Amino acid sequence: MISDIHKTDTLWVPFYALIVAVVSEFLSWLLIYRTSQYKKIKNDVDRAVKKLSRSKDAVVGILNKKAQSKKIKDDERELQKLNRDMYSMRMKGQFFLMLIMGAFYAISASSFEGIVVAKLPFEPPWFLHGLTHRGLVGQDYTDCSYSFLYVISTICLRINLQKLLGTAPSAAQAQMMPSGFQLPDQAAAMR
Amino acid sequence: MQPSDSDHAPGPASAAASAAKKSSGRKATDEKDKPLPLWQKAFLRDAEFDKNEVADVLHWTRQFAALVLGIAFGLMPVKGIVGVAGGPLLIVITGLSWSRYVDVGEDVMEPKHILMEGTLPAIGTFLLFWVSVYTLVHF
Repeated sequence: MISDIHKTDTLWVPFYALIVAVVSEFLSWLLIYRTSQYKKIKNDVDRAVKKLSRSKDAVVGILNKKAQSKKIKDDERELQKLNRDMYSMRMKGQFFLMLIMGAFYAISASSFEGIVVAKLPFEPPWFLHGLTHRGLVGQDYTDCSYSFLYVISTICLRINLQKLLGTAPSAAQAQMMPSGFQLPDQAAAMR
Repeated sequence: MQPSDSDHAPGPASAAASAAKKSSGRKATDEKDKPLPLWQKAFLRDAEFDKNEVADVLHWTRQFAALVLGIAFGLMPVKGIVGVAGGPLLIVITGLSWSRYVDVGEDVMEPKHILMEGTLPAIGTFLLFWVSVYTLVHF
């Protein structure tokens, strides 16, 4: 039996994810990025990253290697401390965002309960059925639920939006940040 | 991908190689000596890039590859493990190919970061377009 697919929903779901991403970035800007405290700490982190990069790239003689190693460790410690401060500042704002985005996801998911929004061109492994087949009846696991399409739309759209707006962390910062910088509405969608 | 000879922090040899590239590389400016936009600079084989520029080019290159592959796979259609494995693999290779083309040094970005930069968002993009186009065209 071929499932009844709502093809307009295949387009609506990414559109909802885009709206959520835009609202999320706007709220992030309102609560976090525009504050003078955040701007200051971001500048401090940028400076610390450059300082650490310069320390690592410096070419020194054998006699000065120990001193260079100590300087690098000191710079790394300073950067870690600044990153922790920046992280906790972002987390306060992100917690509030998580509640809002989680509420939006819960409301929108309930309105798509039981609706096949797309057809997957592959059969997902069993441990993904809870996401790809959430709320759907039947054993055809190529039927795609709202949740999976919403999550992949969010992954695609949110990060690109952050890149375009310049709010994504720079490459140097991203490689040195704690792993807790996750997209809050993804965490809500996975529950 | 060729295995990297060493996985340790860049030393004097890498710094010297970078300095040599700096002296022999093409100047990434236009006729009026203004710096070129990044998307134009990305096509210059000998141009010099910093870490953030490499990350940006890798991200957008992989996004473009993901978009093209997702639409193509959805139209053909490509199904099953061939798409699930082939798409992400091609996305990773696209970024690696560019980094080899412009010869990104280890002092700018380590090979493991070149491998991962922008890969997860690109896989999300690939899946989104693959699933959407497949559904809209074939059902």
